[in-house]
Amino acid sequence: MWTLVSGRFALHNSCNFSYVKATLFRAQNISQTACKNTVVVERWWQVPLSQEGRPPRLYSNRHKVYRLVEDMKHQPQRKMELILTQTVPKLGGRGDTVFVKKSLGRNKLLPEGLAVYPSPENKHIYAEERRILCEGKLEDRIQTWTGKKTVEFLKSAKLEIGMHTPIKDKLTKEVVCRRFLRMLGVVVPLHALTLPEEPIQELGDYWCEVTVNGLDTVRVPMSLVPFMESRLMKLRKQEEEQPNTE
Amino acid sequence: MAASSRNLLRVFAECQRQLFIARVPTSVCASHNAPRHHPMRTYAAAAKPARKQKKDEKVPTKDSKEQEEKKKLLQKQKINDTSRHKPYGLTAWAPVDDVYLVRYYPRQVYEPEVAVDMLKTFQKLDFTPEDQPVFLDLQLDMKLEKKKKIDPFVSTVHLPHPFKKDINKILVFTENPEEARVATENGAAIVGGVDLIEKILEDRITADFYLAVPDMVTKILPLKNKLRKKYPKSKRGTVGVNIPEMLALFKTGHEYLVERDSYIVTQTATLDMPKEHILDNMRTIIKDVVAHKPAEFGPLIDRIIASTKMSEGLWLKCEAFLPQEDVKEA
Repeated sequence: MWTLVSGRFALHNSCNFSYVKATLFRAQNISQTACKNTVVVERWWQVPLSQEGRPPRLYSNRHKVYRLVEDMKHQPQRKMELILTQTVPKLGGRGDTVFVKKSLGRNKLLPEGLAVYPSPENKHIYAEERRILCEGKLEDRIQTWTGKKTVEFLKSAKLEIGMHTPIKDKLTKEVVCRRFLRMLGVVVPLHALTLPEEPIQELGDYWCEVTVNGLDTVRVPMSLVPFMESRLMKLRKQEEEQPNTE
Repeated sequence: MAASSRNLLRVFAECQRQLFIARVPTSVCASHNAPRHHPMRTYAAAAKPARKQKKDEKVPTKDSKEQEEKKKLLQKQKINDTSRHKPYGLTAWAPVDDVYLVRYYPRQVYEPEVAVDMLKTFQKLDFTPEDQPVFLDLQLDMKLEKKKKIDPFVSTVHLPHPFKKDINKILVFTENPEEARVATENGAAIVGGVDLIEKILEDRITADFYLAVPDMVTKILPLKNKLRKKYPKSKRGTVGVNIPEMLALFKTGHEYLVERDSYIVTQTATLDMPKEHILDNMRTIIKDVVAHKPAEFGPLIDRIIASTKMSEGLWLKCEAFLPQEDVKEA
């Protein structure tokens, strides 16, 4: 039977149809389709208090008289929260919690299995996945869609480092990471970068390797050029552009 | 049929009015109408153009339209991001991977101490000189109430750890010989009276600051156009009776001004100074800036960027500089 709470309550043609069917005493036609909208009603007459611990007793005809408080279909449509299971364009990747319109979520994401409801169990699963990405073993990790994009970007990336000529130990990982940030706008932590084993002594072209999330490694060509101040570099660029246009 | 011919007539009349020439418009008249010949009439030029001029005045010219559009583009529409699952135009609130592209995530805002440390490491890793200047870039919110703004101001601050090696050159206007003596004792470069005016007009003498006694203000008027911004003004503190005090402020003072309505870009220190000195200087300047707006109208500073001459700018947290000291010290 319906569980009614005294005072305000929402009349839901709610989800538990199996429960309703099991407890049907009278032949009632209950809609099989999902609840389309919610109407909030209030009892007109006050129900007298019952004993502590016992539900209120509804006996009179007047307890069935309701007053409309508001119809939720006139409210602005709220968004629903879902956790994505795959990469969805414009929303995010696997494990991201997104807010989408109810129409999109119910007609597209949930039926096609692109997202799941953020129940506590689901949230736990995806939080675990994220934790494994940072701290867990390499075999268990799954590459994120942002990681894949970064890998694609790095495959076509080139680095130019200006160094003063006696390069004894000056080319450290920190210098290369700083160069990545300054020139390409990529943040590379020290543990993700690998420089060639033999220490570099001369100017020229070399490789360096960047590991994204510990899974994919990209070789980025790195060229050591003689150090030039930024002012002089700008002048040189201008000179290069002028003959091109001419 | 009749209606269409009437419309056509109206159209034709309009064309004629605009072109002042009677034409036989073969394109306008439909084929089933006989071609209409109208007598050649030259209209009086004054009639219509008067109306047109009014219209032009009301409608803004192309240049000002472009300027307005540019202004609108510059003032980015602030979209309320907080309720969304990710900020507009970016991938997420915070990066998930260890290697990521900075432009897909919201800009990182740093604590001042962290930022100064970062600037120092940048200097070492980029092989740039150690004594490069550290700049502070502030964007101000100059609005007060309805349709009222703070005027762009110029002010001088006394920095706790000055980075300038040489003292500012100061010129003092006084007629009184005693005051002149006091001024020269306290370090004024040039002291004089009315006779200095000619020399300044001829550009023989220049100075960083010009101070004056209230009696001299009327006599210095011819220099107003010459000195412009540096002209002595009681509001700025360059006109006063207490000469030693003014000299003390302006000798070692650091001057900054508001450019382009709401931006301040000043040098605060040099990178080889210890971290605490740089931070102290920044805090003094920001305190002085904040004093220009009464507290009821909201915070004056929109954003703070710290940078050196050869590095990128790092955004600083404004809350760290607010007078609520407990938040900062915690």
